[in-house]
Amino acid sequence: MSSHPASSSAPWTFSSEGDHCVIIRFGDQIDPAINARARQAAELIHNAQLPYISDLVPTFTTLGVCLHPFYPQPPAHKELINTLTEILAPLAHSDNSRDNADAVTEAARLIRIPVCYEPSFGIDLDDIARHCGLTVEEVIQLHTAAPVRVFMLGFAPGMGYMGLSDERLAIGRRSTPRKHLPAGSVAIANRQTVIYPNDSPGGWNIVGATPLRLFDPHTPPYARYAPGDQVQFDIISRQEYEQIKARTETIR
Amino acid sequence: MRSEEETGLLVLKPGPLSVFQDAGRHGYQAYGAPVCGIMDQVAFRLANALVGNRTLLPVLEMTLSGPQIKFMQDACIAVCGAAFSLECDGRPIALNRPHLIRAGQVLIIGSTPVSHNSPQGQARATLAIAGGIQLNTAMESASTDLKSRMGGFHGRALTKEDRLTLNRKLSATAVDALAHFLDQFRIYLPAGLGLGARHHIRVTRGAHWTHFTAHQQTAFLNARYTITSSSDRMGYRLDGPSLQTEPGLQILSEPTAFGTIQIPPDGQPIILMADRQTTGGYPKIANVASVDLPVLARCLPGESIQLSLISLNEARTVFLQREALFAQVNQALAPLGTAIEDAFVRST
Repeated sequence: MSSHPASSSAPWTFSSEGDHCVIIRFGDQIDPAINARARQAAELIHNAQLPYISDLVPTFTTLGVCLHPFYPQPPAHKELINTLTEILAPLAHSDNSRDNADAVTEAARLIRIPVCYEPSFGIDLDDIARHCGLTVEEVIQLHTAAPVRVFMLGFAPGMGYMGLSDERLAIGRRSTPRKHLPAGSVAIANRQTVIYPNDSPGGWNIVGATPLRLFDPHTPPYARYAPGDQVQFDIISRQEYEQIKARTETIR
Repeated sequence: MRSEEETGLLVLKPGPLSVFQDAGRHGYQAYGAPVCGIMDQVAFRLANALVGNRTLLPVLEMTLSGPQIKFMQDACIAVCGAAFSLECDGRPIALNRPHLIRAGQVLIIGSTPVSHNSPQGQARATLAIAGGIQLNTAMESASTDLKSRMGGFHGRALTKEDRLTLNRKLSATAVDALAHFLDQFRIYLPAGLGLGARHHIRVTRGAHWTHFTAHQQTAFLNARYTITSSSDRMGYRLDGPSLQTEPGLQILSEPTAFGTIQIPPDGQPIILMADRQTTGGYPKIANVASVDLPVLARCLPGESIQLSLISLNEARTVFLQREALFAQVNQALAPLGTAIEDAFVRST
């Protein structure tokens, strides 16, 4: 159920996600400029300190605005859309160009994530290399060549969707998901990378493993990276992996 | 042998799935952390009000049947939600009322009695304790996240021999008078709170409603869907007419809500519940109206539900009507809060 704000030709639409959530849509494809808008919108709405909002959830192309289930007098849908339209006014006038995205990129943090790509961890490297017509070394080289953007966190606490990788790393998900992947597994699909923060099932192609803990519910900022961050994967040896892992566990 | 010093609660039998939940882990979905929290928000609020808790403290949510708990100290409790059987030292006691359980007594919360006439709405009930229980908090919430093992009682469901510590202690000199007061207190709960069982669930149009043909929309609203056995706190899987969007609809992972009805590739709807993932990539045909989520939370696998479409304005109107009733109930129950608060040993 989509509706355009009556007052402007703003480059987004609203849709209701039930009577306690509104989704603002900024586009329909994976694009840093579109994703940056969702994050900027989250910041503007957060700063407005509306008492009935419980969560702002940026995704690839949208922002979820959730109302608290126990707020006694939530605004009507139209009233909420008018309020949000007013808050987002500064975004309506900035154009949707690359400059905008680059400005955001410059401000982004660079997070370095050590990854061990040895075959005992990178169990799908051979399959990926065969599928992409590359050597295993080339796959690793392309995966570590440049930082990737964190588009969103979802699926599990602290799990980021990062991309986009080099076009030569184009591979879909595995036809049969695995029932169990160990925490820290680094996986690729559709030119994106995820790292599974906990032991979990998963259908992506495993290239390696990080010894870092990605999510700690007791220590802010909880997740190692946030939407908008740039992430650089650094190659480490099995020995370095074990050393970092041992240190991480001591701290826990 | 119970020593003089022994306090708190001892779990003799845990029940199939007894987890502590509060209003939910709000504000952390951007980190990918699910909201979790209570499935039946009406039972949660009412149980807290009945034991005089002025804020919404964590409660024990019990699925299918409840625990057996030995009380090592006096405590005031209430059970709301599904019509589970409730006994204190073998004596039946009433749902939706506050009770004083004495040190040494055993509270047995069973399933819905077999003789009970209604096959509907008997899945979940809620136990609240005056003053609350000491629990683990993660990201500002004591809700148990079973998947990430955080919050609640060590991030897990209760097990045999767990010992729970209460936050507050009732004064030995005040409990007799309090027991008398609680027994005499008259309680009227309006039907509009939504405590009764129903199989009629109201929905609003979902984000991808228009991607389903008129024929599919009609099929969705005219059918009876059965809640399957693979339904839990994360989601209810339904069995009924299969639905498909127009071919080629690609959706990038986007936010979901409590009550989002999504259509996975097999065409059988899934209603996302309290432990849902924060985002999802399946088409979303509809959303359950907030007021009907507690009704759904009490439905058992095997039951069928009938969906009907209402507007967002209607959904808000019925929500506000229920809020007005809650305000009345809270006001009527306010003397309970005062009496129980007065009976607590003053914290120093």
